[in-house]
Amino acid sequence: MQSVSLQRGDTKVFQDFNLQVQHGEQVALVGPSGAGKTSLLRMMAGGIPSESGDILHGDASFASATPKELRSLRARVGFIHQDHALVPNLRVCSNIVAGRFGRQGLLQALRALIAPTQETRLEVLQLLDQVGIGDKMYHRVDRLSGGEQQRVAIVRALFQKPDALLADEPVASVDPERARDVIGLLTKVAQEYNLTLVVSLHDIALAREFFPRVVGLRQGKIMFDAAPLDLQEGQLQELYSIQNK
Amino acid sequence: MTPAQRERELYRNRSRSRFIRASNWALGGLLAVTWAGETIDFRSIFSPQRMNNLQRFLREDLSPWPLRQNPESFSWGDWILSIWNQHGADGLLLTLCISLVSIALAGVFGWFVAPLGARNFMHQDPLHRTLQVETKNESVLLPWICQGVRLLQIFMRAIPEYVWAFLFLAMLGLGAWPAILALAIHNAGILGRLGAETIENLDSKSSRGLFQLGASRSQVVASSIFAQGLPRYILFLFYRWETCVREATVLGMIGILSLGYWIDDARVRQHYDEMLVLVLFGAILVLLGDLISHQVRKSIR
Repeated sequence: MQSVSLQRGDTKVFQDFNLQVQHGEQVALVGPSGAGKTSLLRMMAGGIPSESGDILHGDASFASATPKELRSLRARVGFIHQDHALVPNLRVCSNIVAGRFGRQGLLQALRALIAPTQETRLEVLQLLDQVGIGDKMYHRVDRLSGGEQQRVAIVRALFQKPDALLADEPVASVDPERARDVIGLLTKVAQEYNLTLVVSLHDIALAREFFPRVVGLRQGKIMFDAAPLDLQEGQLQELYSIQNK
Repeated sequence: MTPAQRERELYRNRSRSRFIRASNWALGGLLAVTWAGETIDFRSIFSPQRMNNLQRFLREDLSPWPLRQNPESFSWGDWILSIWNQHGADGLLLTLCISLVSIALAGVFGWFVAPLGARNFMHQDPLHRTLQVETKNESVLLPWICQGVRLLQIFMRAIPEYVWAFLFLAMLGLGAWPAILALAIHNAGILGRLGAETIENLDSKSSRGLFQLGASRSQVVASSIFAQGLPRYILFLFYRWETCVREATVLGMIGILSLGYWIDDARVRQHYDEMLVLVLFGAILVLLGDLISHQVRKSIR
C-alpha cells in the first residue's frame, strides 16, 4: 500500500498510509475498535477504493484497474468475513463452488451451482476434510454451528485459489480454545498453500503466539510493526489506552 | 406533584401526529357530509319493496326447482349431481386451469424481472458497498433500466384484470386465453414489485461476500439473491394464486367460460337455485386454494 488515503464521511480513516506485505508472509493486525483494521483489509482486497495512493498486488494496481480487471484482482484475494458472508439457505458445496465465480462466466457459475463436475465435488470434499467438516458437504449452511460456518468460509476462500488470504476478526465471537483452533488452522493452511495471510485480531496473545509479524494500528496509523519477541509492554499499553484515543 | 398528576402530565405531553389527527377529522367530516347531504339514502335499503323482494328470493327463488315441482320424489344428491354434470365440473376445471396457467406465467416473469426493479441492486454501487462492479456505461444505464422496469410493472398492475380481459376478448375472441393473459399480466406487475421489494430487503451480507471474491452481478443474482429470496417470493406467489382462483371465477361474467360464466348464465335465466349451487362450487374451489396455499406457506416458513 503506497501513500493510501481514505475518508469515511467527515472522518479521515487513513492518510498517507504505507504498508508492505511480502508474498507468503503471515501478519496479524491488532488495534482497538475503530482503528481502521476492517477498512484496511477491505482496501487490500479491492472491496473499497482508496481516495489517493495505490494498492499493488504484485505488479497489478487496484487504483488503475478497470472493472473487469478489478474482478480478476478480487478473485486473487480470499477474504474471510467476520460474519462469514455465506448464503444461508444454500448447501455447503454450493457456497464453496461460488468461491471461483470471479474467474468464471455466468453459465459456468450456473453449472457449478446446479451440477458441479465430479472433479469439483471431490476437490470441495478434500478441502472440507482438511478442515474437519467433510461430512457436512451437503448440509444447508444455516443448519451448521458458527464454528462450522467459519470453516466453510475458510474453505470457500481456499477454493478460490487465491494468492493471499485476508481474515477480518475471524475469532471475534468464539471462545478462547476455539479461537486458538481457528487461528492455528488459518496459519497452517496459509503455510501449506504458500499464501500471504493477514488477519485482524483483538487478542494480542494469539497474535504473538501464531504470527511472525504483528502490526499495531490506531486511528489509521501504524503504532508498531514488529516481531512478537520485539514487542514491548509499553507499546501495547499505548495502543489500547483509552485516554489517547 | 403526585404520581397521578405526573402520569396525566406525561399523557398530555405524549407525542401526537398532526397528520393522523387531521386525517381523523377529515374522515369524520366526510362521513357527516355524506350522511347530511343524503347523497346515499341509507333508509331506502329497508324499503317495503326491497324487503318483499328479499323475502321472495330467500323463500322461493333459492329453493331447488324440482323440490318446488315434486317434493316427494326430490333428492338433493341427484339435483346437485345434475348441476355438477351439466356445467359445474367443466366450469370448475377451467377456472382452476386458468388460475394455474396465469399464476405460473406471472410468477416466472415477475421473478426474473424482479432483480431489475430492485433499486439497491440496480445501482452503480450495488448494496451501497462501493464495490464497483460495472463499467461507466452500465452505471449510467442501470438506474434507468430499473426505473423503466418499475414503470412497466406499475402499468401492468394499474390496469385491472377485467379491463385487460375485455381488451384480450376483443383481440382473441372467446376462450380461456383472454382470462389467462389478463390475470398473468396484472399479477406479473404485482409479483414483480413484490419480488423487487423482497430483494431490496434481503440480508446483503452474502451478496457482498460474493462481490468481494470477484463475482459479477448476474452471478450474485443466480447464487445469492435467488436462493435467499425464493422462499419469500413463493409465499407471495401462493397468495396471488388464491386471488387468481377468485378472479378466474369472476372473469366468467364477461363471457369467458369459467365458472363465473355459468353463474351468470343461471342468473340471466333466473334459475337462482342453480346459481347458488354454482356459487357454492366456486366457494369450495377458493377454500381448497386457500387451504393448499396455507399449507405450502406454513411449510416454507
